[in-house]
Amino acid sequence: MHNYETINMITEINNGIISKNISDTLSLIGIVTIENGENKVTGRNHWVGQGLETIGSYLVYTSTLNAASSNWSMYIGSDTTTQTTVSMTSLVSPIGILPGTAPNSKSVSGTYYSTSTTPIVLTFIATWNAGTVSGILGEVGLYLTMNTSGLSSGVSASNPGLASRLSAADGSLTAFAINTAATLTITWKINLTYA
Amino acid sequence: MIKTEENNIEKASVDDFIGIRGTVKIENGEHIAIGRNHWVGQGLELIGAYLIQTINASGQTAQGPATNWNMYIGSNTTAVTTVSMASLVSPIGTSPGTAPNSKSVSGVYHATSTTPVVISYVATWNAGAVSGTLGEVGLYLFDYYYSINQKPLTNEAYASNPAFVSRLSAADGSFTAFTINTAAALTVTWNISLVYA
Repeated sequence: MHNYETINMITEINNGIISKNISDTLSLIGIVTIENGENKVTGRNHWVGQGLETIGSYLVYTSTLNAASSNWSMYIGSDTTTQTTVSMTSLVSPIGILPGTAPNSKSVSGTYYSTSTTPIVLTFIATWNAGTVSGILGEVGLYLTMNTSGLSSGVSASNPGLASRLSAADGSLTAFAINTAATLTITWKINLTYA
Repeated sequence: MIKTEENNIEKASVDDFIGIRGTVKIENGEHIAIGRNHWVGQGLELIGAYLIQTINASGQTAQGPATNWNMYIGSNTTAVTTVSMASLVSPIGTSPGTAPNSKSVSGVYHATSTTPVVISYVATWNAGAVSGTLGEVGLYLFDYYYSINQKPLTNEAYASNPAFVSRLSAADGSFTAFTINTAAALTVTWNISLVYA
């Protein structure tokens, strides 16, 4: 019953009944930088439904769980024509065996800037050694541990699951042929800001 | 550097970023008030820490924020919410405040909706349990990472457990303060929506 109530409430807000203040909304914005030899591209990610689910599920969790980065990874793919959809759960054409060739090294970190307009910056970095992957790079996926069971009607996700995607089809980057003589490094930054 | 990158790249598309919004409804007898919450710094920390936390079930298993959550009310009507705020300004009852007599939490994923995830925290105080002017409400969530001293965020500033993460206040203009009707139950429904903004 509360679902309809909530939707009605949100509708009222969106219609301007209740004004929005500067710290009313938290925003998660993902910015991805790809570096491969001389090639460097930067674009904004697109969140899929599972990305919202894992955060939302965390907020209602009343028991133990695996944190989002307890088993995270990043994969790349060659698709250049399929736009990101909410229901997408994997890359369209992963490079390597599904879900893709795992990076040779990866790291995750985060900083809280209490006085900044971008208070939190989370950084996921994945590196593939030279020659490890090849072909056209048209899509990248950030995979996080999925804790979807906290929400009713949630999808049953693989673990880890696709949370966000950067793709040429969305216009977020220009696809390019991977230079196999150079390492490929992808830095995925998620900013938590007051919108 | 981040800001520079944002300014130089293409315009955001419909699902480029996730917005997390809190809407609070207060019901006390005939009185109903609705307003939007203000997030404090600890609220961002809670979500940010989860996303980069590497704890898993085979090690020190993490616990969800709703494992030990609460809601408190206060009487302050003049202090606007600040990022560094870590508690209500003038809680009703002994700090952090008088706990509700009952509470529940639930969440739904609406796959095809423009508001895909809706989480509801509901707290009820029985008639006569609290009194005075209601000018502020606070949502407190469990900060497991602080409790085990594994703060994944550099400069993380958690100070209490459960942590004050969001506030609805008359001082912010989010609702009009009112005198609690002690003959009626007081119910606060805090809905948090995750949307494509």
